[in-house]
Amino acid sequence: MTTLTVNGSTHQINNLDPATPLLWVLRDHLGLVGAKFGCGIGQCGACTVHLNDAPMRSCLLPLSAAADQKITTIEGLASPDGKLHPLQQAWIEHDVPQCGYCQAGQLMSAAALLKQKKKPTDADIEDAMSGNICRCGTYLRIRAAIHSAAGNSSKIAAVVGCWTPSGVNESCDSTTLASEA
Amino acid sequence: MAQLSKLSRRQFMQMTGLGTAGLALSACVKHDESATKPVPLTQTSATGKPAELNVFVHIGSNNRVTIMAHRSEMGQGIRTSLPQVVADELDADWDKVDILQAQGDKKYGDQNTDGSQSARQFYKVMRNMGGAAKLMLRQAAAAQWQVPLESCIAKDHRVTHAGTGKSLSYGELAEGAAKQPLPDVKTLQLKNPDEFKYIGKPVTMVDFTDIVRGSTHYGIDTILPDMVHASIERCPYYCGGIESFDDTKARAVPGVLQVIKIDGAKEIPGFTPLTGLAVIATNTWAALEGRKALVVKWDKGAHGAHDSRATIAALVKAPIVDAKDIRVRGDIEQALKTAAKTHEAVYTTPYMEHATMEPPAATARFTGEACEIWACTQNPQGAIESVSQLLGIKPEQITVNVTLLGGAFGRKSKPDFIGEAAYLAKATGKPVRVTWSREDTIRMGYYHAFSVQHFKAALNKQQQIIGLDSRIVSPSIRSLNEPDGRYMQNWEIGQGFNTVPYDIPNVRVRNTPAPTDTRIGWLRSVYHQNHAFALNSFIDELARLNKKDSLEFQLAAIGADRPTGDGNNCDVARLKNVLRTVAQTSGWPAKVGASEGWGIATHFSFDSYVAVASKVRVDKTGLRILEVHLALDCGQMINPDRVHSQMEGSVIFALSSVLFGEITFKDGVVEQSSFDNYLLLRMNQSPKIVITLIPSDKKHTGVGEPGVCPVPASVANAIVAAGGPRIRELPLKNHLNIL
Ligand code: FES
Ligand code: FES
Repeated sequence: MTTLTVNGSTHQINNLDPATPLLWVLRDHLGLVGAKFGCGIGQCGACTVHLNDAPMRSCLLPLSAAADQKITTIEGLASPDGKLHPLQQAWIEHDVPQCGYCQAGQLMSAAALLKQKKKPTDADIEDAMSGNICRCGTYLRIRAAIHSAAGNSSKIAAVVGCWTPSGVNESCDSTTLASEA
Repeated sequence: MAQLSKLSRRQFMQMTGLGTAGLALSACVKHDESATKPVPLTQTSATGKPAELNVFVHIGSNNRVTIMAHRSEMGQGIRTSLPQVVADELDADWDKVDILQAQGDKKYGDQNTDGSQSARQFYKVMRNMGGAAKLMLRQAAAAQWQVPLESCIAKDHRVTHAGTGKSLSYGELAEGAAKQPLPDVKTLQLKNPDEFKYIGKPVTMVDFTDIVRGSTHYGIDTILPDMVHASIERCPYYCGGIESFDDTKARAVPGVLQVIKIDGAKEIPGFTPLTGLAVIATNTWAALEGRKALVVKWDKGAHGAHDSRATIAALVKAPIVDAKDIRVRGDIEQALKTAAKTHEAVYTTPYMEHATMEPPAATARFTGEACEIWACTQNPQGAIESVSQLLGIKPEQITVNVTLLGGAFGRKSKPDFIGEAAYLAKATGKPVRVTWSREDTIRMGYYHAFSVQHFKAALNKQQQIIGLDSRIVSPSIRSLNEPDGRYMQNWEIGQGFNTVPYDIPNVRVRNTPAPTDTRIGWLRSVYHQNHAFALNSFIDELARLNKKDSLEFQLAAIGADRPTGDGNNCDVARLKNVLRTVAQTSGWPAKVGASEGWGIATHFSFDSYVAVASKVRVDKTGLRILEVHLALDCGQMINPDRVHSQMEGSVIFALSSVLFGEITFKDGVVEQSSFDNYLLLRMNQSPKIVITLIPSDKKHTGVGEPGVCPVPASVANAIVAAGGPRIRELPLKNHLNIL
């Protein structure tokens, strides 16, 4: 029997191969499907959770290594009263997701980054986020949303052109784009 | 709405407070006529009875409006943008609108969310839905107050009487409105564009809160009571089979319940499941472990020696045999003979795979009477058809619930993976979820066709192109369903190969046969992206040959304003406009640092106009993409923010393709397997991106696909401008180190 503590709740896991990756225990046994399967080999970050507040690819972490540790998944990122994490808020403000499939992993990586660095630079963001693939290509907005959650919104390296009713070639950063929404 | 398709009809009724007293607006939507002709709200069948009702708009007594989303959401925002149109014409309050995902059902019209079609086909239909419902609400108010219809004004979710100021909410009027006769669409007075409240506005996607909370439902997330998990070891050889197998060890893996053999299609793959061994287990991991313990001897079939690099290399050199003329204009032989200058080049593009972040996944339950399915499908009606054939049951016995799609790009309109789930549900008697691994996805795909494109141009003394001789060799999607699919279909060649925008008097377009050695499928922008790469590279070569600025040369080649008339209705004035726009945003011909350069390209596809200018740096360390500017003219926009995000995504998607995208076969088997050898662009490789959306009051055109087309050539052209080599063979990673 293994004890797992996920988002503050304790679960007893019986009769499961201790080599089973945490991802499949979460998804198939605990019904927590927020962490996603993307590759199973640590390449895409879709499965990212926090193990004792550090980002962890749950597709590679065996159940035995997760036992008795503090695990946080995307379902536990908002506060218990349901209030969204500042990053979740910023994700909505910047209209970050497209299909959304990678976004749980992106948010968990970003949340771990902000725990470490209150004011990340572009380079910090690239370092922390380049292990998370987004096939839909939401990188510009992820970067902008992390900056704005960190209160950095004035400094956005990625510039996105703006749609304006008069329509011609006005450039602005993606904060402006999102705040128009 | 958190639970896309988990709600039963009854729960839904309870939730909306709809009961029997709601307004259900009926409509029949026909695929072919929806885009241009008015859509009848009811259709009378031959027997004189009303045809089956369609339901897009419900209004509950609790004042909530529910709008059916009948197209699949895969990141393009369609679950929001089409309802946005309905809500606008309905004058509904968006905060009082719920979106319900429709199951697969012909009554909604075409649901195959593919080909950048949704706005093109359904914009007008959705306006009619909203407009008709509003009229019925006003009629109900007029009847209740015994006043003329004209004095009943609908606004902000209420109908108000102009004379007295008394008003009723939509919820209060719903019951009466449902009893009104269905209006004739022709009589509907739709809004003027200056009255739009939601159309053309960047409304936030309805799913965002659930997405960031991790509480949505994708195909891979379905959990049913007593469900078992399946992972399938499929035959890696095209049209191969199983010679023998031993599953003793697999069945001994803890958690594995049984192993089931699936006999797939032998000759023509279509969308039937592939031959393989399904390991059924109590969880996904056990099923995957069980697979590793299988011992299988494959029957390699006729394609066991397929070597894709050798195939493509041979087609570059092969003599012209069995050429089919696709278009002949003027006298190309004469033009080439009398030309002041000629130039020729051959371009190749490889097989690619969709690499959706969510792999294909489907869940099925089979009771003998009925089969219910939950799947991330772009095409629920296609899934019904395919499962009906596979299980030998009637379409009416099959329900397909559409989940969110974790990316699709064309992969998820092929229902093979849904057939697997249905087949296994029947075989096991239990609900089964089939989850594809990443390796399955990369190695068992419906591959984007490779291409070999031959070009020869004749130029006169004035440096004008007077002749273009082109030949395409590329496997056709028709090979999925036809035994001899060696020639391309007209629409495939028509995707930018047979339909060049240049004004050239002497033209010959030919197609020579290509072998089929794997399943060929459509992938975001399909053949367009191959053709746009070759043509835009070639025009840049011609400009350089003539020592001309590439932009000026392209504009001159496109020539005077006209519709091209080559069967694709490209308005070249709009094409030149997007080119000039990216030139303006990028500062073309911009000054650059050492080893840097800009490249430019344009393409017309899915009725939309796109141009891209890219800036790169090429030096001893390798290639770095610095900046990409894209301009899009897609006519009117329903939701400019989602159009913008599609363009951002198109740039990233196309950069993955041009830099890394390559599936190769060796000894009949795909060599790539996962994201460590089938690379996708990451954040640290992403350039600065500048998007310009051209405002327009013209008809809606495609958005999901057109953005990717000009990107590859813009990069290849920029490499030359930066002092690097002319690369005619994709992907670029085979030639340069990618930084
Ligand atoms: S699923 Fe864990 S890194 Fe891809
Ligand atoms: S939003 Fe679709 S993969 Fe990132």
